[in-house]
Amino acid sequence: MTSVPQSAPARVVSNRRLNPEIHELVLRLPAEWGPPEPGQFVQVECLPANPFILKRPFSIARSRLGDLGMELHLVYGAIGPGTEALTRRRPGEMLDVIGPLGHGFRPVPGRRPVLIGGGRGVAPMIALADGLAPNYEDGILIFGARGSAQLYELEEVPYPVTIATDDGSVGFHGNVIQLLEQLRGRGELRPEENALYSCGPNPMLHALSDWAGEHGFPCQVSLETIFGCGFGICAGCAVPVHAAEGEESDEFGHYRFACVEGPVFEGHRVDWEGVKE
Amino acid sequence: MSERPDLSVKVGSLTFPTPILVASGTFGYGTESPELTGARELGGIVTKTLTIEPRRGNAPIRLHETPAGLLNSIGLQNVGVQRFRDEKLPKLRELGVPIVASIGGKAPEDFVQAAEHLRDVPGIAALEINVSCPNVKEGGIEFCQRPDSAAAVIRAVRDVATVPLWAKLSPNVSHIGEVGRVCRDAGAEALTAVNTFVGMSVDPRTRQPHLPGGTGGLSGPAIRPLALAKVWETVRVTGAPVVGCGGIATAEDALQFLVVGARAVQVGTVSFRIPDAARRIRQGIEEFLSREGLPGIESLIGTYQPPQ
Repeated sequence: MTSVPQSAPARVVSNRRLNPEIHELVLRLPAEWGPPEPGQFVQVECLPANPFILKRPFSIARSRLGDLGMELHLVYGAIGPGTEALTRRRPGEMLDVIGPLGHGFRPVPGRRPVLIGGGRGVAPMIALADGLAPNYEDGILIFGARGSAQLYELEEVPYPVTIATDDGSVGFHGNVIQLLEQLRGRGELRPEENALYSCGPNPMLHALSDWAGEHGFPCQVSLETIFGCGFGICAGCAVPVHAAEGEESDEFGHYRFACVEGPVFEGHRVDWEGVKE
Repeated sequence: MSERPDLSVKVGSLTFPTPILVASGTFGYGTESPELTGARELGGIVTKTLTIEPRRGNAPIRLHETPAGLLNSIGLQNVGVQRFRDEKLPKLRELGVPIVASIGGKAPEDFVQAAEHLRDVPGIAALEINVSCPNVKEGGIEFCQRPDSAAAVIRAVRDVATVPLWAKLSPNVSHIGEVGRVCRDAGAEALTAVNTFVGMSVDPRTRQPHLPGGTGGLSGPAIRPLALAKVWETVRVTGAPVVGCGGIATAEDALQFLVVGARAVQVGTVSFRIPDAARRIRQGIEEFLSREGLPGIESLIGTYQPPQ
């Protein structure tokens, strides 16, 4: 049962830099908040009260209900004025948080999970691994990055982690598609046995969806777009999708809102030509 | 013990429980997460603009944030007036809040047809005629920039509608009061002022606009003083009931519009940041009236003291 989204004050527990490009924010919410499903996200106030700035969307890397409340781990990059301001929030400060929001990952029954995170997109893969592990023992997590500077230590992930770097500085030398291709070639990945789940930069998700489609793997991807509200009232986060088979035209004329119908989509349903990369 | 101040207001022939409504295009169909948005406590909900056919809307990117503001180019994405009536409206009615249906189109006939689909439909208190959308190239903005064509739309809809009409005015004109007066004379019972300001933002690195269409509609606190001046002009020139809109984010902001004579206000972009902002603004107004010892909001509306 999906939790009803709430707006709630969150206390900053910690806010630290994991590598030159990635930060981790840990927030504590009331115990009755959530719980989130893997792939859901939150809208976080980055600059309290003034000046006026929209909340920013963050996928949830980990959620744990403890004695003091619901702890959320968020992983983010300082990529604009909002997230830049967020790096300056200190433990003890309060930030408004709305969530849990969106449509998360849907486990494909009976399929061994292959989780693929690109850069800071690895965050919801950790939540998904936590969520899947009790029922799907033999999953794997692939963490792809440009190089060692974009990696960080993944703690207590229930699946074995394989690293792929474009520059070969750590782990497999190549991108995640090349690694998947190698695994498939060795018979370690089979379209009838595995399901792919991913989050990362749009060009990576596009390439992955194409690769999955070509080889017949089910593939769900979590898309990053610009959100206004995060809960379906602004119509800002349109994602172009192909009509499903037998479907004429849906109510949104093949634009879906990433915030309520996503952020997780079937990779082959996304009209990648229309997605801003 | 003092009684709670009376927040009910009259806008033309209609009475609203509070003067705090939510603006078209900033509150979906009103039924999205009502617990989060506090929708049941609103003075009224103005729907997304409805068109006779469903509209796909504009290609992404549709939003670009600017200082204290938001540029948008949604392109009137909506399910169409029939699906609204059959699927969205029943849920919206359950909220028990006055509903103003916003309608749009490319030509007067489109508005008329949309109005016909909503004729005698229970639960719709008024129609807001969107003759001012800046993001539909072939559409809206043309109407409002030319007072005669805006008036032609209002007149045409007047002939088929069974509820009061509100004309939503564009601020992108030299004399908003003149456009408002013509719309009033054509049969608009009230005037909503204002829609978004045309704005633009460019990435100096790529030399391209942030929004693919080049320009968008600017909303948010950045436009509040601009909107307030337009509302004051509309009130002064037309004498018609005005519903104020533009950048309202706090109770203090809403009070400014009411003082200059708006009979109600619409809260917009702030709902994206604070989903129940409209409810909080209403609470803030209640507190203000109590502090000032005023019996109700009517004692404040139109009490502006202009410079001599």
